[in-house]
Amino acid sequence: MKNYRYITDTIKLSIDSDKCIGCGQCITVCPHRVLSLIDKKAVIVDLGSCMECRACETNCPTEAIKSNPDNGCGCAIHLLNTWVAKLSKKIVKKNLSAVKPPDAVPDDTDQHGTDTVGKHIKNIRTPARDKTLMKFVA
Amino acid sequence: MRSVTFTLKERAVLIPVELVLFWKNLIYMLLTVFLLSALALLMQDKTVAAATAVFYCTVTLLGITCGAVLFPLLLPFLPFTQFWINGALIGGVISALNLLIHPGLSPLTLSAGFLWCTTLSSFMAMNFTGSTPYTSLSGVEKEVKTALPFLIGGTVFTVFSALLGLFLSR
Repeated sequence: MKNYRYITDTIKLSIDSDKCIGCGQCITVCPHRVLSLIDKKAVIVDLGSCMECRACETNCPTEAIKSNPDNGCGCAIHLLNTWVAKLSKKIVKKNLSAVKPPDAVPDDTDQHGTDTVGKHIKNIRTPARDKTLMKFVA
Repeated sequence: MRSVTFTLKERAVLIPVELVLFWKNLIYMLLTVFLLSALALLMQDKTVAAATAVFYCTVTLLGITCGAVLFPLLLPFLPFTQFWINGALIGGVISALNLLIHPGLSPLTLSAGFLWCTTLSSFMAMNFTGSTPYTSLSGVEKEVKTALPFLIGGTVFTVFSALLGLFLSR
């Protein structure tokens, strides 16, 4: 994995060494060997290879590690969709607040701005597919 | 200690995923090409219109191939950190070679094709950031912010130059 390096100056990862109890969980779960245990404390040894997967953060029992708070994978199209959704939401908010008080703004999008999960579920189950599935069960 | 890998095989299995997820957009693009070639048929003679249509189809397919097939395969050997620049590099080189086998078209049409292939390849490559096990979300955010003006600019110039190519070279 040493051949691969991505943009390094934006990576968000920090350890509060006062909170760290040196259990080594973060070192076990890190897929890129970013952390190491030095003097019974977790230390960042290779920040440049961090991919902000937040495995260390979620596995830290004392919440000593903080990474990028934005959840989700680094997919460009997904990011663009999120931005477009946020922007359109802002415009809707602006237009609505002109006629109604701001608390009447509808909030029907999830945190990613798209309802992809719901769409998939609709696609998976259809009466025809259920019929074929029942054949296999019988 | 565990560590993730990203071998040639692991990158190759991602190619069909990228292509399948992109097929809808491809249909829109090819529809635009057919509209453009219909316009060309009105403006110019049949052979030029057919050559233009074939050229734009080739360029679109080449752009997707460069960004979604060649880019993942060549990933460890590419010189730049940001994906979109590498994608543009591959797309630019391949589409420059492609220009050599399409003589007889107007310079404006050729430049539109070159720009489109480069832009499309760059976009597809940038989208590959979502498939690797080493790109960070904040990095991708920075990359998209840097690339977006160039990609939009490339698309706008492509459209202008394609339309100008149709109208001016009567």
